[in-house]
Amino acid sequence: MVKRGGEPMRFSFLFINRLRTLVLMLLGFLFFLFLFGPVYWMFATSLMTESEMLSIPPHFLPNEPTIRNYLTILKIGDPNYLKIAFNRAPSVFDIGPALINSLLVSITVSLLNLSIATPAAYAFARLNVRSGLIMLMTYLAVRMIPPIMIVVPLFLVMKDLGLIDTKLSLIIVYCFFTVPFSIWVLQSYFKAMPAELEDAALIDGCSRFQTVRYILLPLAKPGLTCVAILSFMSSWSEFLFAVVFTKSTDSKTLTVIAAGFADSASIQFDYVMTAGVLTALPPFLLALFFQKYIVGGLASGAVKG
Amino acid sequence: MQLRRKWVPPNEPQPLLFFILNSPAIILLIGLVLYPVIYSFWISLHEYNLRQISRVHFIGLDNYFSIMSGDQFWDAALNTLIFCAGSISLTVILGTLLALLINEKFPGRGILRAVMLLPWAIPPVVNGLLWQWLLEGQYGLINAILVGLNLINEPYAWLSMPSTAMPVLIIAQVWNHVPFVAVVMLAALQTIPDELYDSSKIDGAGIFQRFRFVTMPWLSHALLLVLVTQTMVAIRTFDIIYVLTGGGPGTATTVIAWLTYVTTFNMNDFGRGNAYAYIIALVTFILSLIYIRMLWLRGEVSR
Repeated sequence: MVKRGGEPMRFSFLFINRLRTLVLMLLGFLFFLFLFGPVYWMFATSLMTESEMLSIPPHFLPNEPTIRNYLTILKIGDPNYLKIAFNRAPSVFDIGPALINSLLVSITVSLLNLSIATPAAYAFARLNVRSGLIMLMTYLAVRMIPPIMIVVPLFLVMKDLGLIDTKLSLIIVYCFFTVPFSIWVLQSYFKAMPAELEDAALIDGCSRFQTVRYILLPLAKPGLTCVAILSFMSSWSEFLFAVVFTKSTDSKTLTVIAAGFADSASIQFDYVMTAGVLTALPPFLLALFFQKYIVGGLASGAVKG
Repeated sequence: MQLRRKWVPPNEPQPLLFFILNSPAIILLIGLVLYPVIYSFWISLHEYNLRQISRVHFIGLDNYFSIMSGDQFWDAALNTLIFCAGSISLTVILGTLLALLINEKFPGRGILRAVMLLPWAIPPVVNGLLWQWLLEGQYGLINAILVGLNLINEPYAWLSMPSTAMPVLIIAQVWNHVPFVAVVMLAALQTIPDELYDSSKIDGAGIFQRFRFVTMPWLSHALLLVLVTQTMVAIRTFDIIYVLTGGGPGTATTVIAWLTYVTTFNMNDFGRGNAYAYIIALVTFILSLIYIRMLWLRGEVSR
C-alpha cells in the first residue's frame, strides 16, 4: 500500500520511479524494433506471393498471407505451379533434402560432443592431475585457430579418403569446432558441483563409472543440455566447410543452399525468406525452451572461467 | 569376506585414467588441428596453384613476401581493421546496454528477453540474405521506411555504393551478434550479490556511482571474455560477406578472411591462400596474448 503522506519527498520519489519505468520502456521498445523488425520482415515476406513481395510501397502486413511458399519447398501443390516455381528458382526443391541433411549432421555432432567431451571434462574436474591445466589451455588455444587456416589441408585429406561430398566429412570437422568448447564448459560445470556426494559413494565402494552414471550425470543435466544445444547450433549455422566439402544434394546443408540463392540474378526473396524461417526455427526454439540451461552453462563456463 | 581389489582414495591424482578419458578428444585434435595446421604452413611455402598442378614447387617464404609488398593485402588489412573495430565496439556496447536493460524490472521485459534470442538463432548466411532483402535497392523495406519518413528522396542502393557498403555490413554483423554478448553479460550481471548494491546505497552512492564502482568492476571479466570471442569472430568473418557484398563493390568490403577465401577457392592459389590464412592466425594469436595478459594483470586467471 502506498501511504499518501503529503510530504513532497514521497511525491518526487514516485515521480522519478514513473519516469524511470518510462525511459526503460522506451529503450526496450527501441531494442525491440531493432532486434525483432528484421525477423518480422523475414516472416512476413515468407507469407507473400511474388507479386505482393514486389509491391511499392511494401505491405507491412501481407494482404493475403499464404503458406504456399512453404508447401512449394516441400513439393506440395499444383504441379503446374511447382513447374513455374522450379523454372524461376531451380534450387527451390533442394531446400527440403538440405533441411534433412542439416538435421542429421547437427544432431550427430551434438551427440558425439556429449560422448567425447563428458569423459574429458570429468577428468579435468575430478582427477586432480597437475598437467591438467596446461591441457585445458591447449584446448582453449585450439579455438583461436581460424577455420580458414585448416580448410585446405582437410579438404585434401578428405579427398584422399574419398569423403568429399559426404555428411560424414562435415560431422568429423564440426567436432573440431565444438568439442574443445564443450569440454571447457562442461569441466567448469562439473567443478562447480560439490564432489562430496561422489566421494562418499566412492568410499562406500561404488566404481568411478557408477558415481558418474548415477550421481554426476543426473545432476549435470543442465550443463549437458547446454553443451548439446550449443554444438547443435554451431554445426547448424556453419558455412565455410559446408560450401567447400559438399557438391550435391546428398550432403549440401541448408546454409549452402541458402547462400546459393545469393548468386542468382533474379529476385527470389520469397523463397529465400521462407528457407530463412525454416533455417532459423530449430535454433530459435532450442534457445527459447532451454534458455535457462544455456545461460547457466555459459555463465559457469564463460563468466566464472 | 573379500575386500575390493584396489581402492584409490578419491583425491589421489590418476594420470593414467586422466589420459584415457581425454584420448578421444586428443586424437580428434591431433587429426583435425595439429596435422592440418602444420600441413597448411607447408603448403604456404610452395607455389601451389591447382590450375598448374605440375608446377608445384618449394619457394620458401616468397608467398609471404609477395603478399606483404602488394597493395591488395594492405587494402584488405585496412578494411579488416575498420570492420573489426566497428563491429566489435558496437556489438559489445549494444549487447551490454541490452543486458543492463533486461536486468531491470519494467513492463515488457519478458518479451524483449525472448525476442533477443531471435537474431542469435539466425545463421550468418541467412543473416546476410535477410539484410540483402531489407536493403534491396528497389523494393527493400529500409528504403521504403526512409522514403516514407522523408529522410531520403528516392531508394538508395546501399550495397552497391562503396561508401555505404561497409557501414551496412557492420550493422548486419552487429545485429547478429548482439544477443550473444547480451546473454553472457546478463549471466554475469545476475551473479552480482544484491548486498553490494544495498551497502553502497547505505554508503550514499548514487546510481552512476553504483554503476561505476559496483557493476563495472564485477563485469570486467565477462567484458574481456566477450571482447576475445567477438574479436575472433570478427576477424574470421566471411560467410556474411559471401552473401551480402561478395567483397565489393570493388574492394570496399574485401577483408583478409574474404581475400583468403577468394584466393584459395576462386583462384585456386592454395599457396598464397594459406599464407593469408597464416597471417590471420598470427594476428589472432597476438591479440589473444594481449587479452590474456590483460586478464593476468587483473589477476582473474589465477587458477
